[in-house]
Amino acid sequence: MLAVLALSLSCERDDICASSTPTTPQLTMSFLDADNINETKSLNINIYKRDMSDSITYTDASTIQVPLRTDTTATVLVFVKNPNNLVAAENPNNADTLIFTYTPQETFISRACGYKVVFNNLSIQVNPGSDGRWIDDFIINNRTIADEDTTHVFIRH
Amino acid sequence: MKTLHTFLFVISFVLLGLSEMNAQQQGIEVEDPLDEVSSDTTATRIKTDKYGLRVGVDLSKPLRTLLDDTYQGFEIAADFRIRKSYYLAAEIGTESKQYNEANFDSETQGSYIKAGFNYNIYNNWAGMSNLIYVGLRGGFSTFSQDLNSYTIYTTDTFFEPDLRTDARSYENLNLIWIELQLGMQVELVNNLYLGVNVQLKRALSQKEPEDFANLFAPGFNKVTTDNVYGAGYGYTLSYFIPIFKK
Repeated sequence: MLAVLALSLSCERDDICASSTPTTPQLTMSFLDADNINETKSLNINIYKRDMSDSITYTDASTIQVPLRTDTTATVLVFVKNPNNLVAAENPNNADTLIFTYTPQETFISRACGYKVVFNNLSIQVNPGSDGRWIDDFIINNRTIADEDTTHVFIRH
Repeated sequence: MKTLHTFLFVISFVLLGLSEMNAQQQGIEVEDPLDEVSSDTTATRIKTDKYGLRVGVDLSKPLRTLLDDTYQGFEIAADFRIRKSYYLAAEIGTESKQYNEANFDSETQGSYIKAGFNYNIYNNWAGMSNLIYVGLRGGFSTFSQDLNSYTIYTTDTFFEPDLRTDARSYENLNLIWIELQLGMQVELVNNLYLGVNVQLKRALSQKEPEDFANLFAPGFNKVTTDNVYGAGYGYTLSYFIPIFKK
């Protein structure tokens, strides 16, 4: 009887998606020194939606996570270095627009977590805008974004 | 809904426990006269053991259909006595269950058959035919699953939730299991029986969709990830059709 009760209770974990379960991954980006490719270079950065309606803020970060849209094949994000800092030593409040294009692939995870999307064949286009570029170069380390364990894209600045 | 399940489940155990206690007391009372009869081997035995077919419906399934908006079910149960303590037993039924979970909305529907035997461990008074039994079944369930809508799971809330409503249907799914039953059948009035049982199931194999999972299997109940066990219960009201006496 106890065994049956224990079994019926143990089913509960099936209702909650454990945080350790890999779900839809975010794009992992790291920042490198433009003068020395072997050195990371952290920065203050705001990432805006295309219409500037919402943003993610990172302060003094050398590695960041960037969400990609799962419902379409491209995400357009505006990366602003030294946001609202007009007296910064380099690239004050400089915006570059990045266009990420990819093939989203839907995968079933489990009863508790439902479905996730992984991104294949990533490519990136940079539009420096009227204020010039702050991104000197980028390196795509992994075109398949299936997890958040490794850096997918390096940006040199 | 979960509370209702737990409630019915616990009640099942309590009823079963009580009935077994009664049975034991009755067993003690009748022990002496039975011994005398068995020692008197030359006496002609009067044929008092009724053999025949018992057919009934599981009351718990229509009841749950009324109480639970996401569930529909019906089951016919039957057994046939083949030896003094052995009964061939089978159940056929149909069930459907909806799951409106956080990440998807789905419905499973199908039917099942269970077949096996019951072994009566209860020692009746002469002329009575109540059962406290242990049963074994093989179960086969065939069903389909509709995935009505689902949301892509993400941990970030930067973009709007990606709700997908392109409904899909998965046909010809199945699940095979073995089942241990503990139950009893009590004769209420002449040939009318009330039965209660609990069922412990173990899945042996299943056919599931490639890009989805079996959430429920008719007859088996909820199917969970990485867990082959299931549980169930039944309350049957059945009529016994006597065919011959031994």
